[in-house]
Amino acid sequence: MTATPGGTAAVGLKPRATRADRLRQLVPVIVLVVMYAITVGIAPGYLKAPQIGSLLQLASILGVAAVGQTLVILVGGIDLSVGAVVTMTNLMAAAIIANRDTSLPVALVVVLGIGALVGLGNGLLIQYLKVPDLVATLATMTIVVGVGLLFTHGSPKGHSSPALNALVTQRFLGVLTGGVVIWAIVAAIVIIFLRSSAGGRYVYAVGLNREASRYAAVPVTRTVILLYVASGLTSALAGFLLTGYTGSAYLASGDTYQMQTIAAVILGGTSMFGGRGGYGGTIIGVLITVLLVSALRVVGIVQAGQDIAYGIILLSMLVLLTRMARRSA
Amino acid sequence: MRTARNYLRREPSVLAAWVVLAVIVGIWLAGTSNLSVLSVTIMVGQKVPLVLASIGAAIVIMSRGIDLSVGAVLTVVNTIIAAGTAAHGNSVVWIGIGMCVALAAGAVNGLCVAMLRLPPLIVTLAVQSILLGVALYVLPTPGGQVDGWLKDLPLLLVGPVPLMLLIVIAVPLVTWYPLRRSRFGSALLSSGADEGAAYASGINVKKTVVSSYMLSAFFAGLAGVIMSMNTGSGDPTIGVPFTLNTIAAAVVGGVSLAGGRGTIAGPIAGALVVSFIGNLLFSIGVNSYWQYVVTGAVLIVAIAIPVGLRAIRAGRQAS
Amino acid sequence: MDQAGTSGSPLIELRGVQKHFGGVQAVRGVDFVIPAGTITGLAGENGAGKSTLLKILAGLHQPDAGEVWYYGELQSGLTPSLAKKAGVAYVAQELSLFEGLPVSENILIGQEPMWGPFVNRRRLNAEAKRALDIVGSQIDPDAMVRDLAFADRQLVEIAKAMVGSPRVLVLDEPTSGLRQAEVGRLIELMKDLKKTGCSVVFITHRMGEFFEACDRMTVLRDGAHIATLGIEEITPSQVVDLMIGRQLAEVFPAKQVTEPDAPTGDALVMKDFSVHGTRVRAVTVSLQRGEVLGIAGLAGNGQTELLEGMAGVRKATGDYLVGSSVGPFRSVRSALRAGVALVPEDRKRHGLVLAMAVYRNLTLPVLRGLSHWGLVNGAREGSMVKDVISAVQITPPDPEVPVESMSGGNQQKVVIGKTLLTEPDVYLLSDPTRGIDVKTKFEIYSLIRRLAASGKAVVLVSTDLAEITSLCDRVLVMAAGRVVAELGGDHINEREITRASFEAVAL
Repeated sequence: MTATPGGTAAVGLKPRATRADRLRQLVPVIVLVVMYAITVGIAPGYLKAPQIGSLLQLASILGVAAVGQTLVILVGGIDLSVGAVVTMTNLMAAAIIANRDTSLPVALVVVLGIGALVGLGNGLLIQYLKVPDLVATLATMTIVVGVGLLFTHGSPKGHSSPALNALVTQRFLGVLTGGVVIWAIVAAIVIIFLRSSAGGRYVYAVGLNREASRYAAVPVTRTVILLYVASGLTSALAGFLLTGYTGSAYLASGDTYQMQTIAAVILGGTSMFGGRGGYGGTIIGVLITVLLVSALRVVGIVQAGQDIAYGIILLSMLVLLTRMARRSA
Repeated sequence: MRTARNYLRREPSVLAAWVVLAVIVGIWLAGTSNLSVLSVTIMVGQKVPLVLASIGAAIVIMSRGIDLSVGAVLTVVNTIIAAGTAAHGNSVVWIGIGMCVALAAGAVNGLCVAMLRLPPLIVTLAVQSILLGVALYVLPTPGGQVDGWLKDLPLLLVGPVPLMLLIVIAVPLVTWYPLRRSRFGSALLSSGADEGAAYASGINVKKTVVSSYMLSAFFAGLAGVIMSMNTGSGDPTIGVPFTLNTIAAAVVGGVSLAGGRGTIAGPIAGALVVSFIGNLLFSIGVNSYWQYVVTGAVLIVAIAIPVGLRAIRAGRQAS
Repeated sequence: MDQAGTSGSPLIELRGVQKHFGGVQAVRGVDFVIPAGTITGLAGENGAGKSTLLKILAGLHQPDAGEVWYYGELQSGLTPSLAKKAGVAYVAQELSLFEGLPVSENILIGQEPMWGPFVNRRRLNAEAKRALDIVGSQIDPDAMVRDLAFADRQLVEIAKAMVGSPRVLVLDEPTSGLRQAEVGRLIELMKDLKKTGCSVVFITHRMGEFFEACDRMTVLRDGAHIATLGIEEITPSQVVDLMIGRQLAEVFPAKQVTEPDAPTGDALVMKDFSVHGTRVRAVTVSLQRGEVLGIAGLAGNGQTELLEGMAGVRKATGDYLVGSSVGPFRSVRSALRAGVALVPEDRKRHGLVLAMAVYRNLTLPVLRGLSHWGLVNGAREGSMVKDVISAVQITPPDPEVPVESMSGGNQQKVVIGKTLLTEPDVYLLSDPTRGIDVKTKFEIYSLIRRLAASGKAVVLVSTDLAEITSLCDRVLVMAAGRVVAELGGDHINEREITRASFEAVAL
């Protein structure tokens, strides 16, 4: 679940939740439940395994990509390069794998390396060159898009491999896929990190008050840089999974993830200002996002309508959460 | 003129931006042969949208905000004009409607940021999504049309000078110059610098902020109109690179992202610099995909320079 | 005491004005009169209530009780803009100019001369120039404030106040950055105003300025009015006496004898220590274990910055040895490792992460030691937190509540507890008892004494002279970033410390 400012602990002491915290945790869940109920009402197929399974499949890729965005937003920043990294790793993975299962490990290592590199670039720009996070990640996004275009000369080549496709799309237990399991593992790691580790505490402290954290000997620079690296890594992993899901690569395949990761974090109750929230909330936000897109498609609303609905819901949620937080503060 | 010299002394970044532009144009000219009047005219027309959009973006940045919906406003106006004209003719009407939509979007942005105190990043991102959806709905695939006489405007010459060149000089003069010289000018910069102090000095900060977002939308809308004239049709994805480019233009032009300082002359030069990157790369025979990388790098360098200068100055003072 | 130096009916009168902030009474029942055609100096120690009194006068603060009279009329619902309209111009200590705007726009902001919908540039510059001439400044009205030095900015701020021909000019430390010639010009301006029947009231810490400019002086102490006298009736030495003469009501713990097996020797040695980006220069000090070293002086003279440089918060240069570790330290972490820890001056912004729980604030600097493989050991943390809470007597003893829900005194105890957990050899305390209730103050004093007795070294920065004189074994006085006096033994008394602080500043 979403955590209180400073996070929630697993054992021992845990921070007392305020009314604002509880609302922040509760509202996303209510929204999700209501949305699911409405969707099921319109299309009862959504109660069945196949539909739930495909929802989870979509959610897993977005969920992995949203891990980095959650971490970065928690520390008070933003990552606008997520979409571009997903696209580029998608392009590169397809090109390297080229339908060969044996190329999978190499492809994975390469794309993770690139993701980490982009994240490192972001972190260094932000911490050492004091470039504002908005501009820094916008700039790296442009550079990554350019590199992707140069790499493929404008026409994506390559193909995913059977093993990867199976990992990401083959169902077992009715609703699960390998991708969902990977998401679950990543999610568990992040949640444990944020709740129970020293590093997790540093994230919240820096997000709430950077100066006080510095006075308290928190390694601020290192923390921020590592979080952006993590964001690059999870975006890359998401791109890798996306390759298995679609089977190949398309230009701008990752673009929608940019907006959706930010939306998932916000819809999950994490504060844009940093220091409050957690990955549990993002999971709810991811489910809301995926459900929304899916439901709109079922009702027959085209892409255009989805974008509009998306923006409106995001704005409304933002207004709601901000007003609530302010009133009980 | 004493005022011109003062102005440049106050904002050295403006001078720097124009110098960089001159250098880039110089290199480009050297590498380009067969420049006809027609091709230059078309080229000037193509740069106008970014220049106009950058003016609006700069205004918002000066108020310590950011507008990520600039590209979307441009797109929505473009698609409304193209689709509307194709269905019912008479582009002028559709220009009017498009501009109204643009201003409405600007108002939404401004009200959310100023009244509801929401973070500009997310608000404009959400509005961007809504507007792109509207654009896609209005014109699902590239197409539509624009009245003939409008399409011909970018090719018009007034004497030896392209009409578009006159427009790109006249619009800022007619809009920004008086704004800067009115109370709004100091209200904008003071609100961006220190909201509390501005309020204490009797400035209506909320009104100023809302106005800045509406101005941004206005200029982005104008850019969409010019874009329609240039291409003669509509494209629901046309505005995508604009958002980054306008921010880059503002930064290269010396506008500080922290708000409270800046000019318009700087971002105009910045917009031209950014848009010339493509031309320059083409003239020296480099793959045009490199323009993305170069634009990103230019943005980073433009922001890092003041930081570097400040660090050097601080280092020198410390002893 | 007599209210002296009157000539005609007063321009401004404050009757029985009171103001408190949180638990602290800043102004108690002050009667204050500003007669027409006078220059009044307002003197008092830090925290005496001078700034607050002037802010009430100028409409920035609403008094809890008492009345404000302008020109014989009772004011109600006074705001800064109403005050300005009534001809009462106020210049705060903290400048509020807009860096991105030129001088002329700053001076006339909100009241620019218009030409239709546009600002009349020519008149704007002309009126700005007029205001600048009055204060004797040669600054170009077109210059950007961003490019101006602090002294010039102060003059612009005063010029801003002169627009609209005020009848009462209220200045809070207007001369702090000015050079001698500029101060002289400002005093002339005050005298010119006086000739036209207007009045000036100003705060300064330079005794010389009082005696050169003022007709009368008012002394405040602990928020109360002590005396108002004509300038001929008093000497600088008497002013100092009035400022500090108080009965030491608080009981301080006796200076303990050092425990027999406490470590001795040098805890810290500094030579030629300077802190980057501040005025702190060439500080040479050595600190013994078991010693409490006080650093006094007027607020804002580098004391806080010195401690921040010593603790690794700011970059510093010079010879700096703590125990066996060589500084200066590039980060707070390395300073902590060497055994130096700082309790920051601003507990809300630097000392605590307010929204976070007490226990998380307490253990933030020592998380590394509490973790195995990166995961925090909840049990060990729990017991550590429990111990500290009882050691420092934090109330309520609930480690899970957010710190922002606690009183100022308890918040400060959390900061101190956090520092205790890092187990330093040298404690740097920056104004640790500011804004804290008396009971907690005493607890903190006892703690300081106990730390010293057990062989730790303590550096205490404070503007509370009672604290300094009662707790410290040695006192350094700082002015303009340098150490200007070192007092020991019997020389540690309020009079000598104050004199040393003043003498250094009066040029």
